Amino acid sequence: MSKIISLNEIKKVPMMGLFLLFIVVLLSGCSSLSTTTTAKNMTRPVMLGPVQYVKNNKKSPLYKRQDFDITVENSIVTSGGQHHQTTYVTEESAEKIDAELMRKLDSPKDKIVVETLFVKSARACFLVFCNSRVDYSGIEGGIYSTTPVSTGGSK
Amino acid sequence: MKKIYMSFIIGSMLIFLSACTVGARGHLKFSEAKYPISLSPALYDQNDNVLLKGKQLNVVGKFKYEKRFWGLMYSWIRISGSKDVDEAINDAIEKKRGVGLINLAVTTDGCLSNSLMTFPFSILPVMPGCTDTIIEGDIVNLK
Repeated sequence: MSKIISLNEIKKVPMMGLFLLFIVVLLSGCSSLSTTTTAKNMTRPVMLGPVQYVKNNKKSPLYKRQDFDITVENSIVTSGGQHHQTTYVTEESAEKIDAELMRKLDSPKDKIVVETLFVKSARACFLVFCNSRVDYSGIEGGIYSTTPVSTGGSK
Repeated sequence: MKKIYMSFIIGSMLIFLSACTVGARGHLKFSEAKYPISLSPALYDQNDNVLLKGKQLNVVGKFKYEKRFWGLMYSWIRISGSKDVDEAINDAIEKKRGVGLINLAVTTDGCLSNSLMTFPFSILPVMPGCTDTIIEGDIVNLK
């Protein structure tokens, strides 16, 4: 039995397609890729900002031993052609920060000072197709010593 | 022949322009903070001793602040500052009569509007992108 499609129904098809495309694009933006920067597992202070001591704003001389730049990234990047696609997923957790900081500490007297905490979210798109979504956050700073460093350090 | 070259150049430019990035980045330096802030559950006292949560430090309140960072030029240019975060931290610690903030955690996620800014709007470098950030921590006092 054949079915006769009215002109109005034919007009609805591209509209439906556009609507579905809009929903897909919208939902792809809703998918959570959030990243967290913290150092909750460290047993020594990981200081931020100009005040380094409780109830005291003294400035003791510190000597930078080394820099650090640690990033926690969550991303989905899709690439490929007509026949197959490859999706690269990177999932890193906040524990990476604890592990990297622990690795850089030499002495129990070393101090960790974070100079900048950075965050970034970006979507790379080609027309309406977004093939990459990256969220990352992290810390930049230095490991400081209270005594002058003999080699390779700067005050 | 000239027309073919012109079409090729215009076509290439359109393809190049239709590929783009939408987003934002933000920097937090806490340079206006009046109290010590730590990413870990520990702070220093004035004699350089480590004060730990649960031992020398008592949690007297929670801090939570939501911040949206905006960016231009495909996320390269930052247009949001972070002075308001420092002020919110100072106010929260003062209100709770605390001595500092520990366990600072910053969670970031792209905003929904980044998805809505896809083609054709995203090819314009002046089209803003954003990232939502939640800043949390424990306000502490000395035991």
